[in-house]
Amino acid sequence: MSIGMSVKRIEDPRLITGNGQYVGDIKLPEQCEAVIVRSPHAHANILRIDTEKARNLPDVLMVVTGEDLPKDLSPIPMRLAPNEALTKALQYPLAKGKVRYVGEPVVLIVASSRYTAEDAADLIEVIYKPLPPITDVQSAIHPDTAVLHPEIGSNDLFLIHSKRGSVEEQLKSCPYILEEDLYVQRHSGIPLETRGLLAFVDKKNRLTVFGPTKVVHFNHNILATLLKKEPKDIRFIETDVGGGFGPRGEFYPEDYLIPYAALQLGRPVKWIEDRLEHMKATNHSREQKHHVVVGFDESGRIHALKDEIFVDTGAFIRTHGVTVPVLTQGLLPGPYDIQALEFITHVVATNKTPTGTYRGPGRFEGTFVRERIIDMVAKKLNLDPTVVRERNLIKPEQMPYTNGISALGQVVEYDSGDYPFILDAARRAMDWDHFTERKMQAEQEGKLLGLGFAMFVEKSGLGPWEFCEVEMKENGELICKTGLADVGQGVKTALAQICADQLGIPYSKVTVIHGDTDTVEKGNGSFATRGTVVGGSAAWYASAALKKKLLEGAAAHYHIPREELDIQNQKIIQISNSIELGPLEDIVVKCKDQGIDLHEKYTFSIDHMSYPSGIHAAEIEIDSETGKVKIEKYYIAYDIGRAINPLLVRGQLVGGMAQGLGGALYEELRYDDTGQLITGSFMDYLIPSSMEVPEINIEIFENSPSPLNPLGVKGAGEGGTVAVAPAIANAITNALDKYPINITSLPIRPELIRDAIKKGPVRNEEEQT
Amino acid sequence: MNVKGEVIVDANQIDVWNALNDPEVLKKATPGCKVLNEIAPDSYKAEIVLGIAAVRGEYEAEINIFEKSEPNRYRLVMKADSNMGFLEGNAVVELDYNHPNTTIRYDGEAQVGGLIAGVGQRILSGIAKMIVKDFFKKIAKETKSRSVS
Repeated sequence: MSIGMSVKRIEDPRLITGNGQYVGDIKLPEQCEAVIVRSPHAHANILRIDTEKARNLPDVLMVVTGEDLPKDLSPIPMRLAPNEALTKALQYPLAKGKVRYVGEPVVLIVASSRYTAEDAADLIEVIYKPLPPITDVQSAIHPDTAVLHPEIGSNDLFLIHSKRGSVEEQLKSCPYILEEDLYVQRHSGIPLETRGLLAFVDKKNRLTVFGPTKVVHFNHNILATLLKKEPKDIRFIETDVGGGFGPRGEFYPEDYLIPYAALQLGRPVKWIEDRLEHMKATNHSREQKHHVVVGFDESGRIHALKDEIFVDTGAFIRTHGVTVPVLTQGLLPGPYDIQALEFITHVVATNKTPTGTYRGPGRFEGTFVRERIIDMVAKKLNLDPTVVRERNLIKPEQMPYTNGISALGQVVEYDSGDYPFILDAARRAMDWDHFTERKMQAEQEGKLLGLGFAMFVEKSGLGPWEFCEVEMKENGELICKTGLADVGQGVKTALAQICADQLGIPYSKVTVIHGDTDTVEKGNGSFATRGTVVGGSAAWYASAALKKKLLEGAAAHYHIPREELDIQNQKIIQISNSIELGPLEDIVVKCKDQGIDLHEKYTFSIDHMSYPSGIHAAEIEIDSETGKVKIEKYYIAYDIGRAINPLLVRGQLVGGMAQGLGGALYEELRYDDTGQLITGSFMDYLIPSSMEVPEINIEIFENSPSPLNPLGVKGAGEGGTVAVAPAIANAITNALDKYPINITSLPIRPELIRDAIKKGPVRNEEEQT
Repeated sequence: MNVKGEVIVDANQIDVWNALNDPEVLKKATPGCKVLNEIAPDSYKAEIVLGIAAVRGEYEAEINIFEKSEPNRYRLVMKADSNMGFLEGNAVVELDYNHPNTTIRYDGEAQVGGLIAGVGQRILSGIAKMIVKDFFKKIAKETKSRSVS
């Protein structure tokens, strides 16, 4: 049995011995390099672009502006959550006539070396006429503000309105109503390796592109469409990647420009994004303003939740369409059973870098809002916040449970889950029952101690399908081809375990192949925590079909009915008496001799997502001098139905938590009011290091297997991230319960904490208001 | 960012005013100024090389003087472009004579864009304030040496 074992990753030996191959490692003869000149203005008309000096520089091979690209070139389309109304706000690979954010590509330069290309970039003269920049959603939707996409007619690009029951009616009978504004700041995934591409054309004019990842087959089709080529005339090859996290691997302007340049020049063209351009060229994420109204009774039971959300989507709609805002809505109610819901989301255009998904998209934001609200309700009623949670949780017997909200083309329906169990596990693990005593003791020692909880429901296993092809070689090795991509999540190991488990072979005998459009016939890729659920199920069924063939061969060989046979430890076993009949290898050879093709394909389709659930809890101590937050104890419980490899799950949770911590306390892509990104390097954009990330106590539960797939799995990729901010925020407000602080925005800066402490404890009568 | 300050010059107001309108003085006072040409009345083009941290680079600058009210006040508008991004400044300069000194007061806004905005933000306002202060200090120095000579 290989499923459920914490085996080591098969990807690692190659990577940790320096044998990985990233796109930057690949060098081809005659290779030249590209540099992109980007807009320094947030909003400006382009009056003139003078490229002559750059063109005249020796070894400059190509200088391209938006006007030079094919006249009938389409903008980059939406991959997920597409919507006709938003097609007018899509981005072209190079700006034409106008720039709408700092970092927008304006000129492409290709030269024999990066050095020369950079020099040529310095010789490009662009005359801009600056226009008033729109840097926040409120001014964007003001009637006097210029419209960024005139064909849409408003900067309020798109409205998503979802309802269940009547919030207005419910509020009438609620003795308590709480109204609050909350804000989640702009930040994004920061992969260690920035983006990069290398494209070349062979003698038959066939294009090959190294460097795509995440959604290789999908982007392959997008490029074919944009270049007006047949998909068969283009080959995409995935390389190793140093981190995905959502932004990496989407189709960006460069994903068109670099192959286009290679086709024009007939030479290999390489582009490696530098870190400074990464900060403004790669998708941002997360920025949302929420206005919440919540109605509840004296027991803490919440009856109505209304949220008007403003999403700062940036200057253009990118490949994710409105994925992030719809996911915020779909999972905003989280694990709670709330009768009346109403969510109104405005997707608003501003003069900032366009946005997309980042690990836990929409849910990091929604979980912060909801779990803060729960603690605010508890505070208002002077109740234990875990009791308020408990009183509102969906009960296991209510499963499957629908909250009535749609996301990604399906109504959210939680497939299974035992939420009260998870809450109890966290209270036990954090010794919540004795926390008050610990806190008082700490207080006597002059320490400010706080404990906060945050529950969440995640989604995973987005369809519509995934593909797997397996083939048994004569030496007993299995080749597994998958439509998934390897973005560092351990996809090869997980698929190898699944195939190995099915076929009774060691996982080390499985070779997983992915990301080459010539080798793998189709695929949807790795995103939305879908890999193990959808790709894993495809591998499970493809292997099952292969196993059936092998056992048929064995049945003929041993003259025993197939149903009485099994494969274990690479041997054919008679089930009834556990007798080993012979090695699997013999049957493989027999099958081959008889011309039986030991080769199976399977496409696993699924139209509903599965919903893992969990809790984060943080015990923190605050330095009353500096406002610094020290995490003393951190706990995550996650019920993912079934863990294919608990070691991989732990890795996902620890890494995910580190990114959630960044969003909670450190990271912010901040703009000034002229639309300049002012946190464009790691000097100002803080990411947590090993010094900031605490030890994490993790409990993986398998209490609620998903009924929607044969493995019972739910994805584990994003649950480590989504609830960090509210757990820490709730812990801080708990530690400072005597001080005037109400955390409603992120990141939580030490100055906010220090300020509250400096103001001193609030008197009781003030606390009542 | 806001740039505001004052410099006291040991000279009378007319001398200070003249210095503030003299291309030679402006050239000497502008930090890193290699070339400064008057292209029209109250309009100058300059080449500036700055060697300070985040704003290091060669700039082509355009300086214009508006709203002149001799000898009391004018508005100075500066735009400078480089491969690293752009700088823009807009300040009101006022003179106030109080025997025997003249006080130069300046109050304005500075803006940066492009690469320098993204990477140097934390130190930019300090640098801007230093450069501007330095400019007016040099004006003071030049005025003094001229009125002495």
